[in-house]
Amino acid sequence: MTVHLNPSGLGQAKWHEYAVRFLFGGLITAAAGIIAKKFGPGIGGLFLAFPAIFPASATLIEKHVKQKKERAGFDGTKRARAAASLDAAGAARGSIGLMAFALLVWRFIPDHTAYAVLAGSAVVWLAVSVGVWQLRKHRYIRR
Amino acid sequence: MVSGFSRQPIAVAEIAWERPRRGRRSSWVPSVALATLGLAIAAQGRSYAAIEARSMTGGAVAFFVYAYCVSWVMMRYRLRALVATTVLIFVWLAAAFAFWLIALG
Repeated sequence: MTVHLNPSGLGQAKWHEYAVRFLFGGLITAAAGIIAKKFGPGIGGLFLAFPAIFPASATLIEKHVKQKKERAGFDGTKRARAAASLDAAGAARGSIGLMAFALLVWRFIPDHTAYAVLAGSAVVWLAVSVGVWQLRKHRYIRR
Repeated sequence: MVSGFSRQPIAVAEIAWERPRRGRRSSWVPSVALATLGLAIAAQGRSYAAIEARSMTGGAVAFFVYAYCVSWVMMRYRLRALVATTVLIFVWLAAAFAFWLIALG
């Protein structure tokens, strides 16, 4: 499957679905700050990779796929579950990029400009994530 | 708020970026990390942020374990996404604290 941009997909999402993501992202950021303040940065740092958005995203994917199938006259339960399951597998692979991001920030932020380290780490996160994605794609095609 | 706002362009891009059969990526975009680390640097300094980032590696390993468990459990036990992702949060907690105790504690 070719990755491509489909702006019409924006119309399929409802405003409250954006609001859910906004709310969860904000809540977990606040919670991570409070935990770090109470238990120290060692424990608080763990929560920087807490699956805050993932449950909402997976649920919405399942719902969208099921609705799409139902509109076409099918049940869609199995297909929706498979789509959400694949999303979870993709998220697991994506966490490798997250590890790279955290490692770079840890190693370089004490001695370098903060903005440069954060920006550079975000770029590396993107590169690693795309790289893992491409690797998986090539292995999938070869099979 | 910072994280909430940082998520919006990502959520929009996620929906526009059509890749329905291979899993979307924004669930693990480091938006919470970027926002929290940015705030930590401003308030506590870079050394404090470095400690948080070191622990974040453990959180990311735990996320890997959690997400694969969710994927497997959903297909194996035919659970709904909301149930699987919520119930298995304890897997993330267990993996994160185990990593912290073994590698970082």
